[in-house]
Amino acid sequence: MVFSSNIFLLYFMPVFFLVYFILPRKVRNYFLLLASLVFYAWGAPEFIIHLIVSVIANFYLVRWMNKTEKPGLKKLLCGISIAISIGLLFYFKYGNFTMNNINSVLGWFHAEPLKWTKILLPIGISFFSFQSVTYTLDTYRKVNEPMDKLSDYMLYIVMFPQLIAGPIVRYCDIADQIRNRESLYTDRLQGFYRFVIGLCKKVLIADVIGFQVDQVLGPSNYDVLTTEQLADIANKIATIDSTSAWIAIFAFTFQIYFDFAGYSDMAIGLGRMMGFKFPENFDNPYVSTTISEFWRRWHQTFSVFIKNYLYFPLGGSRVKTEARKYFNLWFCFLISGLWHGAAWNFVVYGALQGIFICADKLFLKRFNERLGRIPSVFFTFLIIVLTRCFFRIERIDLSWMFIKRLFAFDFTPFHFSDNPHLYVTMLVAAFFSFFTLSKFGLKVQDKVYFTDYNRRQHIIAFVVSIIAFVFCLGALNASGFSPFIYFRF
Amino acid sequence: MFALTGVLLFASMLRNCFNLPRFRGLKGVVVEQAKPQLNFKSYSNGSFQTQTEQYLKQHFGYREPLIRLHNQYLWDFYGKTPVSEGQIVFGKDGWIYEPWVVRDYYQTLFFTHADNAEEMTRLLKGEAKRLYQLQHILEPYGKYLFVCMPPSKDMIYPEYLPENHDTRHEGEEKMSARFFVKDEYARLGVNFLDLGQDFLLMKDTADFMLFPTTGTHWSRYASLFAADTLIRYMEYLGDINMRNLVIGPRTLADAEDQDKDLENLLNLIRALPRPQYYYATATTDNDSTAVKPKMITIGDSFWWNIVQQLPMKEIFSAFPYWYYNSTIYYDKNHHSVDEVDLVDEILSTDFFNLFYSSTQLYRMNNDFTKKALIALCYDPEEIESINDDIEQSIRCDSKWMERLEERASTQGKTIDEVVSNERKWLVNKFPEKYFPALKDSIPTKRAKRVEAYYTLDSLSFIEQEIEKVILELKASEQKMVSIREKATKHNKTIDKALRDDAHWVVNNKIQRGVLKWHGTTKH
Repeated sequence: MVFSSNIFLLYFMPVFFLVYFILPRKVRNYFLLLASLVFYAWGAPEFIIHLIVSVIANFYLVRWMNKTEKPGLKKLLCGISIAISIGLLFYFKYGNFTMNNINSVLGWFHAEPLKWTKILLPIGISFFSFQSVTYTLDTYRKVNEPMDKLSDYMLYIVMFPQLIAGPIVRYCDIADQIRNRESLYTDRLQGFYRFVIGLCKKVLIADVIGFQVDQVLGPSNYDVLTTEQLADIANKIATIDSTSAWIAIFAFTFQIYFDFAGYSDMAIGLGRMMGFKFPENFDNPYVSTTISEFWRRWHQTFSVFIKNYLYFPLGGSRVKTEARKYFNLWFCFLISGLWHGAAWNFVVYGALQGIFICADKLFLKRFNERLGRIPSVFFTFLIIVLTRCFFRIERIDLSWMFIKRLFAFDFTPFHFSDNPHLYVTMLVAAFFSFFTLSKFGLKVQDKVYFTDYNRRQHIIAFVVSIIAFVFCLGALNASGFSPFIYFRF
Repeated sequence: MFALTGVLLFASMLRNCFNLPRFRGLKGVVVEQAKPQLNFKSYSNGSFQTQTEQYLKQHFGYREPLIRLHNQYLWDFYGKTPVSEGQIVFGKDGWIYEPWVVRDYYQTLFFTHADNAEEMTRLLKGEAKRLYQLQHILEPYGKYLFVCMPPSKDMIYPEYLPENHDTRHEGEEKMSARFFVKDEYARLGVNFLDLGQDFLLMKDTADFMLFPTTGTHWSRYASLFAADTLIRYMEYLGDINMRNLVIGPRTLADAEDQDKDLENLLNLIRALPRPQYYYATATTDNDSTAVKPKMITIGDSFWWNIVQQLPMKEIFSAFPYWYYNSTIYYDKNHHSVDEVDLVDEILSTDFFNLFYSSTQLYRMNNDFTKKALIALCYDPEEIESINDDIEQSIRCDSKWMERLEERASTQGKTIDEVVSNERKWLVNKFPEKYFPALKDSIPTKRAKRVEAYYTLDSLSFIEQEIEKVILELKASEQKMVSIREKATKHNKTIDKALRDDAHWVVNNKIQRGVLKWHGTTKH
């Protein structure tokens, strides 16, 4: 179940909140847990048992780890707990990828390929595996005490607002809120407004742009395509003119931001309606003046996770040599690239980001400072746009071919009338992406997102939210409704 | 306010639970998602969830106004709706067309259905040959097969077509199936009624629209004139007298749904600008001597305007409509062509009307001719045996089976289903290879049932019955008066008119099952 679906918006969400607020406070967590399990079981029925078993196992392992005084055993239990979380992630997410690569290598030596049944990727596994790791490590490091109740721990892992696509909530950030939280009526309302803002980002911007991007670059997941379909995409990319190529990659850059940030907004909004304060996930990433800044603003909870649970354990910047420091940085980005998807293009994407981060530390940051703020924002944005080619096109050869088309200087005249809906949506996306470059924009953002509303503001926000919600529902359903005059056979 | 939000969120559910005021429904047809069945298998493989989401998408409360609202927004701001992207092309002066109609005009349509003009020519020639074969097999039975091609909007009103829709570059192949089949039918002598030609002749003189500006089919009013032409053609073909169509006084009115069918697909809140159209009621004269033949129409959606407007029961004894040779309308006994015994149906029918507009010619009459020829020339046991042989040859080819096994696994079908589909595809692609009788210019081989129908015995039986009826008619002075009138009207001798009437009386009795010939073999 995804948030931008009828079943969630018109059935699950209303029924959930009705029952949630009717129930007494002390049983609300149980109901939230039950609803979250239903939510997950709807989308991943074959994985729900794995999830529950792994969560229970982790809970008791961490409790045991916390109680034991023996450092060796403590370390072992911590390792087992992390191995369960990361092992599941590795098996489900990287099993197919690994086997394909092993078989490719075997193929070079004319050896028989290993038999392997393809595994389906359970939704949200990349997110809840990480949350599970934060729980284990935060407890191990004595940052927090472990949960007393299994149900509370399970709720932390499977809570439906952030289960599918984050934000990755660290255990230490939310432990107290699970045990005790308050939801004021202003939280409920402002949570709803935030949810609607996210829905608009997803439905009115990302989906509109995404549809057009798919027309040019094919569906985002090449795994499901047949050889003929892949050949068709390759042909399209090989013959695309530079104008269309630039439009497509700019469009995708906006699509991915509004899609992901929209989903995070919806998650944060849903959480706030229940009294949770989830961490922010995006902070206007496209106004960054350097790549390092971009990664501090983009998918912030993930960056924090990588910093705390990978970069620091590797030694961070407190290492003996400069080379090691840069390697740590680069390696973290390589892993984060792989986290985005099990394919070589994501590895290249991560590696490139790592290279730019290192370049930032070495010279690029100073260069950007000399450029001035606005030029450096657009320079950084251009780097992001170009590296996105490796993110969107799931084959390195095709990504490279696409980049060559970008710089083939084979431009065709641009006509706004060819696709006004796309271009207007891209302009809107660009406006909101760079809105906070101005002080006025920042002020408006603070007012909308982070300030408590007075009565008049509530009324305006409420009316606007309802209209926007209705409009999103229309867009969601109209896009799939394409009838025929009569049936044809 | 949060409570009010809750109420608003529940509005959709409440709308479905209680019969709250309804909004204007959405137009057009979509594949309706059946209510999903929950069981362990459907849940665990995710099909229940997918189907439920699809079902709710089609059945949530206030769906209609929400979709119309969004479409109107897209229309007003960007001049498009989700439908207009793929199914509508905007012409000049507010005229709209279906894209394949535009492609047909620019002679590029058939390259979406065949690799090149040569291949399409081969396919169309093959189909024309089959029509010719079928026509000549049926004729001795007093059964007439004809092709009737309705006009298409691009042919009658090309002046409103958009420019820059010619997708083929200079020097690239172009081909019009419409012109090709016309020549081919004329060459072979296939019965062919070109209503498009009639409409072109009418265009300059008619004081009404032959096609509506925002519809894709011929206008309701114009189709009545086409129906009149069709009846006259049948009379000529069968040398019979049918009831005459009487078109009543016309009135100018806002477009009926059928005259704005393409616009309806846009599902907007506000109507597109368009003129008013004429409408009239069609009746028939009271010619009691007229015969009512049975006609099967195998065709596309252009037939709807005729079958919905004409007093069909007064003109035809039966008039099943085999829509795209798939679903059957206007037949109480059958809903799908798969349920029909093709030989029985053919032998009890007088006219076969193959009614496809030029944009649908690539469908090759949806294989009616192939199936009919095979059914008329081969016995069911022979067909079964040939089919078995084909499937056997598929199963013996290990490489072929490997491919089919892969297909079965990707399509989630059993291997038997996939093999059977492969066999159907082969027969469809190479009918003459597997059923060699079809190679003859007019196949002389007949299925036993057909042969029996054809025997001298059966003919003499019918002849005897006709003689009996002639005697009965002669004995009735009242009937003889009407026959004399008919003879004068159609410039026939009284004996010929008497015989024709008697022939149809007997034929009708056979069709209704009142008269039966029980012989089954040739003596």
